[in-house]
Amino acid sequence: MQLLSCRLQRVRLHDDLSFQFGRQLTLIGGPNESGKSTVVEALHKGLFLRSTATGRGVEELRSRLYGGLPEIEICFAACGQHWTLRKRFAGAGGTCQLSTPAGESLRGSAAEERLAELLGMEGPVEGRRINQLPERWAHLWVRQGESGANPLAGKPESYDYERLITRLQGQSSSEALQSTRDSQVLEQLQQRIAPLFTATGRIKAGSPLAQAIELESNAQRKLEQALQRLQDLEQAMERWRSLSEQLERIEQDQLPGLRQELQQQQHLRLQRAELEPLQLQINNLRDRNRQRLELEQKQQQQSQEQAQLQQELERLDHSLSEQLQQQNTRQKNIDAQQQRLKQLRSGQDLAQLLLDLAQLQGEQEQLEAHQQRLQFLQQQAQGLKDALAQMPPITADQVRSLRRAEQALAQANARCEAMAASLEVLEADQPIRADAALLQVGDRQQLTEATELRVGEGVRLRLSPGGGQALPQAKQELQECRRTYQTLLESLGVSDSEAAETIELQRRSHERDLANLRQAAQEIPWSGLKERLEAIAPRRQQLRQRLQEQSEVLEQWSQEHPRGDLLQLERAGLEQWQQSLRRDALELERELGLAQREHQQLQHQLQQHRDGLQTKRNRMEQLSGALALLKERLEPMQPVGQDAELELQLESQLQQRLQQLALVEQELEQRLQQRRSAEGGEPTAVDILLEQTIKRKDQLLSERGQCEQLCTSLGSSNPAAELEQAQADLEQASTERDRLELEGRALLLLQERFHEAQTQLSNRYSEPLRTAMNPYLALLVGEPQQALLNFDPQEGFNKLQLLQQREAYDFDRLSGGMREQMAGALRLAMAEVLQGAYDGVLPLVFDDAFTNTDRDRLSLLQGMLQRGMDQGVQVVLLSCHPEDYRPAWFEPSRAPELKAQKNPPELLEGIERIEVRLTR
Amino acid sequence: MLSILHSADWQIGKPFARVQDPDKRARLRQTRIDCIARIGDRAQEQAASLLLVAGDLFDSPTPSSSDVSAVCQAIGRLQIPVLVIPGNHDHGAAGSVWHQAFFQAEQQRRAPNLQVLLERKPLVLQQAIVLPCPLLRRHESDEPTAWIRDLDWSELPSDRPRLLLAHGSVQGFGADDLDADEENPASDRNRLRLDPSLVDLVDYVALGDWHGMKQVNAKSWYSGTPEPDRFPRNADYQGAQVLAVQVSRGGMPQVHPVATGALHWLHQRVEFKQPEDLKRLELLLQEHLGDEPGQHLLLLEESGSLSYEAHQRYGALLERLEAQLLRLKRRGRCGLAADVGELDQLTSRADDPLIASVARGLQADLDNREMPPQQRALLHQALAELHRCVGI
Repeated sequence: MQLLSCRLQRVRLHDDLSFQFGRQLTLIGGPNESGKSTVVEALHKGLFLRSTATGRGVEELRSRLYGGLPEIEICFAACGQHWTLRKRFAGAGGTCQLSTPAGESLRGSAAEERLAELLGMEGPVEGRRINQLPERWAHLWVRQGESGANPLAGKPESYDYERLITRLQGQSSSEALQSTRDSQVLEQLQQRIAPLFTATGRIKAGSPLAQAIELESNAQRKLEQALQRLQDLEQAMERWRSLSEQLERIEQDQLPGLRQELQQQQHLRLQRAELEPLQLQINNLRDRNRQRLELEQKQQQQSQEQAQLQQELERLDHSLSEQLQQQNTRQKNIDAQQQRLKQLRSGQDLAQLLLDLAQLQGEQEQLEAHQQRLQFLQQQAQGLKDALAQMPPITADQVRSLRRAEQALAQANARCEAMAASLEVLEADQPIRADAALLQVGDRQQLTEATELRVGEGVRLRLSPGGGQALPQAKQELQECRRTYQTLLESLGVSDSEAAETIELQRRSHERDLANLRQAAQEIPWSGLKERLEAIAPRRQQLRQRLQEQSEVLEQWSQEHPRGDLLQLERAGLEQWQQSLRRDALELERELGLAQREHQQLQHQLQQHRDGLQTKRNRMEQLSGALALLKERLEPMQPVGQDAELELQLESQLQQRLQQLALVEQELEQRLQQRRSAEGGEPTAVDILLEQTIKRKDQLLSERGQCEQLCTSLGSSNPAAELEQAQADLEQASTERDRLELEGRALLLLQERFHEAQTQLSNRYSEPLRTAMNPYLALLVGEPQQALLNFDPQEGFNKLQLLQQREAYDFDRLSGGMREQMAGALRLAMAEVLQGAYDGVLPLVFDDAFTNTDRDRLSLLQGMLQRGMDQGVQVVLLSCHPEDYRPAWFEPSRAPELKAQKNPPELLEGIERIEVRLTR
Repeated sequence: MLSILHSADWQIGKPFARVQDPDKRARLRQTRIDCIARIGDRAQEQAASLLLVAGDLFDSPTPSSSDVSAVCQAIGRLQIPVLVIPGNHDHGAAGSVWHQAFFQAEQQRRAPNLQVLLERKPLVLQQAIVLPCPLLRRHESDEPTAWIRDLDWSELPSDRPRLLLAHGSVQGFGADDLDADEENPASDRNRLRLDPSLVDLVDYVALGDWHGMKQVNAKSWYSGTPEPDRFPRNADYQGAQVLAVQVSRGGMPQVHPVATGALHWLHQRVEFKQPEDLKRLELLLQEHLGDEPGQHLLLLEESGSLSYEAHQRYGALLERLEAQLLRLKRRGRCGLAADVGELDQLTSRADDPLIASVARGLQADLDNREMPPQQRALLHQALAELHRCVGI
């Protein structure tokens, strides 16, 4: 199939583009956005997309610049003829026309089908299956950006797999790789396996094998059910038998036994009831005898007790009178002691009164002494204060300031004198005047300033002391000091510092004396002295009055005291007497306390005696009453002997009857014991047990009825026969399942072996393709490099690798440049192999396919492409840089030499190489 | 001298579920009922005055009413008393056939000569004392003959033979395996202890349970089933008779089998090594089976293998046998093994490289003698399938 020319109308940015294809090479150059890729897509869609397609595939062709529908016309040669294809993409109204110069013209679907046939396809791509479009001739149509992709990575259909295999097989020198019969057998196997197993080898639902497995499973379940049914029947029968045995035991053994036991119990109760009056009579007799004996015994005991009590009462009476006498004596002693104590306490009060009087007297005397001393001190202080008031108030600091001023004045005076000129009149015969003052012989004058000295009338001398300005300053300081000193003297009112110091010393002495007087006065409690003195008189009056009131006591104690009149006693004497009284009183109090406690104890004992006596008297009265009652009760009673004889007779009768009953009781006890051990605890009452047993019997009868029904129900279908049938069914199902399983596994095994055999033979497919590819690679790279390729009957070609120095590199691991070059080599080889099926030529479109290739390898790449062209491949090269390719093919001097060509040019039409330039 | 017939294991109502054809199944069942009449004939021939059935008269404790009715009718036609004990198949538990009102009514109406012995106590007849050991459940926990050892013989007449009637297996006799097969598993329950202390007390022990005739000791016999219901395991197996017994008190019984069977249960082993073996089998079967259809049942125990072509012929033979026989049961497997020519046809296909390669691979695997049998069978099957696919 050779592209001859094309015309694109209203396709994206092409309004009307038409050009011819070169027989070997068509170089379409143009800058970006000049519509190169549009040409590639438009040609591809023209060839493979149904003209009536709608949707994205067609929308992408529409031009936004030029009105109207996109229209594509492609002229090509195929099947020995020229064809003109015109497609107008107008959605559902699109048209397709395919015509030959000979006049054959097809339209619509017929044209589409014929076109697909010419291109080796089953049909055009529908609009809704636009995703399939890129897979059409994907090995021949290298779109921009896809040049580095592995051409074998897609589905086998995308690289014309079937045709490629056929071609490769045709090229193989060895025997056929797979015969028709081989294919038929494999197909037959697949057809037989398909209904049995899924693609992953699992058993398909609904398949005969799955049905057989299900049948077997059902048969197994039915077998289990049948077995269960048989077991149920056997169990029901066994239960029936057990129930019958239990019922038999109840009817023949338990129920009669219980009924007999119940009868015996009733008989026993009746007999016991009959014996009760006899027993009662015997008991009465026994009670009477016992009662009489008890009463007599009681009477004797109480009489004895009465006698003992009488004696004791007499003894107690005597003892009580003695205790009473003792108690009276004690009471008198206590009274005397209490009287004496009272007396001592009045003596103490008196002593205190006298002591208070003496105390008051002492207080008065002390207060008066204080008053005198205070007055003396106040007089002295007043004298000192007066003396101080007369002296100027000179302090020690002031004295020190005066002394400092005095010294400063002396120093200033000395300095002036030292600097002043001295003038002394030793002899004078004329009046000498210094300034105005007349100097006498012997006068000395200190000149501290320029002084005019006149001697006589005619002599005038000016005397100036030396020292310049220092003298006036000294003079000024002297005056200053003098003024200060004078001021101080005046403020202190003294003539000099000595006088001031004397005064200051005197003042200090007076102030010290005054402080001493104050200190002495502070030691005297002078506050309220007068009031306190005045308060003493009423207190004394009170005390004297109280003393007056106790004059009798005073009199009494004065007589008792060895020194007579107590009023004459001094304070110490009084204190001593009071102390003596306190000691006596304390001693007496202690004695009195002891006596009182003893008295109380005796009183308590006395009360106890009285209570005891009363109790015994009461008891005496009780005993007298009780004895009288006993006597009354004993009088009507029979003598003991008569009752005893009657009792013996009755007792004998009773024993005989009781022995008879014991036998029955023993029998009952045995039964009870049996039931006790059977029930494992306290046995149930017979009547209840009888009732329970009857209920149990009814229950068992009911259960037996159920069992009977169950047996009838289960036995109606003969479970044993059913079981055998189920076993037979299972065996049959298992056999069938085994058969089918073996058959299925055998088929799977065969299929697997076929695939293995195919794989083993597959190298024969990959080898011719590798052989076709390697010369291209050899042109591309100098060093020995080979392509490696694998073939899988199911997955097609895969594992494309590059063998470099014995190291195999996966295609995906190669560099970008190498990937696009190797992919290019493979595409060229595939086109070369495939073109035999397409009239010996196939177009191979590269849209910007070598962008990653180094410029210095460009010539090698061009060599590779040239080899493709030489082998008959029609290369269509689209590039932004057509100048890269121009020197090789479009400049005659550097055009590669035409080698022996597979497809001689005369067989193909058109110009060998054409360059198309697109502009923006 | 008392003449009796001893039989057991009639197993009326046995379903023969493994026989696919319902007509044949019905035929097999009917034959067992018909056998009762044949036993009646033998009784007359032997002038037997009593027929003892030592258990398993029915195949299950709940047989169908039609079987009950048919059995009662058949027994009723016999001229002699028939004494029956329940066996493990038709044990006498409450709810079993023996207690059912229908059976009791049918028995009274159709077979007054039939007496079912459900209690372990002596039955004193004019001619003999019968000591029944019925099984009252499928698996008895106690020894069924134990009660006889404690029997007070002084209360029984001493002038007539004592016949012990029991159903169960006998330990140490080794006949279990002979009697059982995959369709009739043996049971070691209901063991009978037939030691001299027991056997010496009686004059004849009529046993049931084993379907082949067997003498246990001088006085104890298994009669076997009168109409076989399984394939014989070996040539010694005797399973189509009743025992005619002459017995007297204190004497040794005289026992001889009397044939009663109608159908022929054959067991044929065949090992296929070469195609001629198939021919030989055909001839052998022709000889055994004759031309009369519907009288035979055949267990074909296969081993070895046949070529694809022979296997096809074998298939045709089996088809014919299926039609002719009441039952064809196959045990074992006749393998498929290509002969040299067939194998060559597969492996030497120069034009079909895949087929040849696969066939050679499979054959190479089969040449490995250590291959497990299952894997080998799979490989043979695969090769056969390939042969079929190729359609040679």
